Amino acid sequence: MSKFFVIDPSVKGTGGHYYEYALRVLRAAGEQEHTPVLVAHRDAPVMGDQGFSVLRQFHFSFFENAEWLGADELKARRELERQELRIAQKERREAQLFARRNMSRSGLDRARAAEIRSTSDPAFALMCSGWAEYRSSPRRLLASVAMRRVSARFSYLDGRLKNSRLLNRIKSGSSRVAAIIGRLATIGFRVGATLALAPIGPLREALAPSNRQKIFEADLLTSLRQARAKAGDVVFVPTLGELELAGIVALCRRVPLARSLRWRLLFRRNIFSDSMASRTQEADQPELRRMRSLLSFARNALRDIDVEFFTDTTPLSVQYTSLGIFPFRTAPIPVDERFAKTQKRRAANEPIVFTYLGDARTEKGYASLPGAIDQIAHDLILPRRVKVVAQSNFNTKRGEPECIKAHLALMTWPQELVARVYGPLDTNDYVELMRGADAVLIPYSPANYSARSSGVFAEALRAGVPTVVTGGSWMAGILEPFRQTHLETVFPRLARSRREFLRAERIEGDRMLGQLIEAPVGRSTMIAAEIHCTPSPDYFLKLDFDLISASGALIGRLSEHVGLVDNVVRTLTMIPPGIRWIRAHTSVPGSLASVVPDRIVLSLVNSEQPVAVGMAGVICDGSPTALALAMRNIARNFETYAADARRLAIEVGSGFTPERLVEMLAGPAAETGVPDQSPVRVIASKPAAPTVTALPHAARETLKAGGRA
Amino acid sequence: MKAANLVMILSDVSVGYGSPQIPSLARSLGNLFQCSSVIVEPDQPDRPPVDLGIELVSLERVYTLTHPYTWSGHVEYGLACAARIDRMKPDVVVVCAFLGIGALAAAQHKPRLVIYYGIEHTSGEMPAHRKLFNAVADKIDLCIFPEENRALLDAPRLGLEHTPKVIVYNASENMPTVIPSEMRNKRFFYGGTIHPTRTYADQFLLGDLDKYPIDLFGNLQGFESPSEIVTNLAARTSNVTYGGYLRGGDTYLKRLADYSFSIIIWNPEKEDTLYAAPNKFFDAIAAGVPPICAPHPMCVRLIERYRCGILLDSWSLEDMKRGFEAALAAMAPPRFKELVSNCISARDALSWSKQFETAAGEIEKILKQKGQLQMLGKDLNPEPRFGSV
Repeated sequence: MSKFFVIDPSVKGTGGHYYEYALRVLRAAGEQEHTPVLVAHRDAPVMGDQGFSVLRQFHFSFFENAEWLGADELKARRELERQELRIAQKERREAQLFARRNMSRSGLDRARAAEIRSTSDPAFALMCSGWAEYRSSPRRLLASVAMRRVSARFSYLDGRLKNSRLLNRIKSGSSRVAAIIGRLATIGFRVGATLALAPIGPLREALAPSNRQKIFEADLLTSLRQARAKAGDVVFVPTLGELELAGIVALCRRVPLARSLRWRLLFRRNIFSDSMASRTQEADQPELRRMRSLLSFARNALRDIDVEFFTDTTPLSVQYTSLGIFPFRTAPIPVDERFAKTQKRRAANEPIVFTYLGDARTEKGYASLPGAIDQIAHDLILPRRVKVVAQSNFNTKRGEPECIKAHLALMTWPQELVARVYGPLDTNDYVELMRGADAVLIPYSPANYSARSSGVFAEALRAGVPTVVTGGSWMAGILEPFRQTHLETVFPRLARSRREFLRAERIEGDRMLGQLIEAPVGRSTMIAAEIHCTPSPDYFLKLDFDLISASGALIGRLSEHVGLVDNVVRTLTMIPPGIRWIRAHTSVPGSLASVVPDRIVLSLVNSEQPVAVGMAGVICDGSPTALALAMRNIARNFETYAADARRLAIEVGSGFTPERLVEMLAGPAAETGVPDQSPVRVIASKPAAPTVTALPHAARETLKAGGRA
Repeated sequence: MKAANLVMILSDVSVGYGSPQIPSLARSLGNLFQCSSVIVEPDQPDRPPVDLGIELVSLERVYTLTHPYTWSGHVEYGLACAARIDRMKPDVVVVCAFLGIGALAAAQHKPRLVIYYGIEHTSGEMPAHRKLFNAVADKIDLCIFPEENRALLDAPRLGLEHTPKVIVYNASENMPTVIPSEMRNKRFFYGGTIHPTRTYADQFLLGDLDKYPIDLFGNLQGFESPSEIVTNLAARTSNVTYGGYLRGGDTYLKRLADYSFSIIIWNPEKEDTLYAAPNKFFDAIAAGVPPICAPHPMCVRLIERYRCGILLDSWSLEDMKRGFEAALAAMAPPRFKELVSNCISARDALSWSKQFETAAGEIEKILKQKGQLQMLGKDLNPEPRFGSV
């Protein structure tokens, strides 16, 4: 029976994302007749019998290593923090001194003395009388008054002394002498200390590796030897960066045991900021040059070694593979089986629960929540048709300012209408929170999540819960084909109530991109867009709708990011109440992208009947207004969304399993996509296990064939 | 360990004259900790002590030799409060902005829970008070602010950036009977300070708004000849009237309840007036009277949330007139009835008890962290929790 190693230096406790991930993979590996072994951080607690062995070995986590790599920046940041702390401490000391000086009997006397003009002031007698709770001593009060008078009388001297040349010369001369003495003393101390401690440095150097890469390498080798790894064992590293890759490469170069193992390396961070658009511009950035050099070095060093590279989303695999050095495959996100169990049954009169899960971070759209909730307050929250639950966990001590503001705004709601859930949750509480959700809000920034995965989304998909996601994100990429399938059936139904206000053809050139037209909204409730184009699944077209009030003021903007997944793609955008005019714009995100559609048809829809604008979820722009409209649409069409989400859980969500991941990792290496010049040995030609990202298209076909109404 | 023995609230004003939150807080905290509360108040000479008439809440006035708002009065009040803390040894101390803070610096006794109630705002001024806060910031466990922006601005100034915060609106505990919408007097109510610039009284009193049915109540401040101004109103048969000072409490709310709208406006010249958290807004909501509000952020948020009033686009005279016209138009039955009914739903959500629930939740969280849940009569639950999501 081969061993299955999960190498994760970031596992430091029996909770949290890294631990959960490792746990799921290891259990699945155990079920598939491997011997699972976890190699964790040395701070990880001793874990009881979990069905796998645990070695607590690593000195530094992935993030600590990443920080070490950016040491200069880190140093500067730490220095800044130290300075801020020093200033704060100094201010605190001054404040405490001030408090001690003033909040005392003598402070009271001084304050009183400052408020009386002379001893003949009637207040003087009062302050010294026995009636007061705090009586001032006449002598002290007099002394204070006298001191104030004297200092007032001679205050002119203070100015003269300050301007005295002789005094200034003495002062500056003495300070120079003091500075020189101080400097000499410092140098003397440093020289002495260096001499005294000289033998320790080389000794330490000789005994321990000097940099993080070597430390990682040494930790890894020790753990492999301790666990008695042998040829053919699978070593899975679920989170790694440059330093860890360099360590593995170095280990494989010098240790035969390492060369006989089957390495499976998973990268999770995007290397380009956008999925497609800005790739050419960013390709020459130093970070990418470094990554290319390292992968190229690894290609030469890992000749004849069974190594495979993975990411956990298709866009991320496309990004890494586009470097042209190694092929990257997409590994499924392992979602806990408990998410797949039936959601709690919601009684008809119970509110629909929209849940936000995860850290309260700006990139996760937490700051948009209060605005969105306020917009649905009147018709959904207050009548208790909808409830919002927001996990409000700040992952840093300070928290991000926008999120703190948003959190304070959320706190103004009664808990039974808008509930805040605090702190990191343990697995059971987290699963319960997800099971209690009727829909999940994932308004993540598309700039940061265009390729990165979202565990929450995978879990929601697995749980069969409708989601609200942002256009241009990886999550939207999963939902887009389904939205298109759905809208293909919806548009004919809306034919009667549609009023076309724009038909732009490609032949008209510049009319296709940029400002298109302004149209009166009248009683319309939605904007329908139909875009005819050449399918380019990696690209998005962006439709912006400016919202103009009766007074002509621009009061907001709604954006639709539509993935060009088919010959005709469609969107339905809800119009918020109170809008008199809309102005449409089109653009393609990224300056170098040149996707010009053949035809764009925009119509206003005047229909009061409830229409779901997406399938199993809504793709919106993440702004408070868009989020509110999305929640409103889900609330109005909840049964449709929920039914679709349940179907997607079977069609797509079932792909997010640890078993599938382990099958993929432990199975033979894939043949597809390997560049010709790659020296990586392809072990066998068995087709790769299907990846979840391939599933949406298949599922879409199933849905189409099933004639979804 | 035993449950809390006493809640002590160090007020910065003589209570009973416009800060109803302080007695409300004393009562609510007393209920939460199942103990009695004492409010220590400074001696504002123009505000004689009142009988609160609240069970288990007592009032103790500190008579200082100088006015409590002078520096020596402040120091004396702080020392006197510190002596009371050391003598009574309360488990819970609430410091209301800003007078009582000196007591925390001077007292020897360490209460088990210290709350800062930011009922007033520094607006970036008051350097001495800020220093005192910075000196004792680490003794404070929880901050209560009446408005989000105030919390964001003032907490770092006071050294309370990392202290847990909670927003408790200046909600009213008194809930007068709501007069049916069709029985209202079809006039606008304005209650509060009447100042030529700070509350735009120039515009109300000098003829610009004569055609609107407005009744003003409150102290005239900043006018050279207030009586002349009032006489002139009558002489030119203005629709604006002045009804004198109306003391807070039931009488005020009963009078307010007769009106169709209540005007809420402050000149946003300083932080505390821009980010206003006025009692009169919540009084209007409690009385079921839709407010006409200038766009102070809190008013915008709540009016948009509950659709219970009319929002002005800005503080300008033109927008004020537009807002008043909109209010007159909204007096027609279906629209006005809807506004009143929205006020009623808002008053339930914005009641003091609902607001205090949020604070109580935070208090429980803090006590749990400190391992002092027994103060609430609850068992300790020291189970550690791991992980993040």
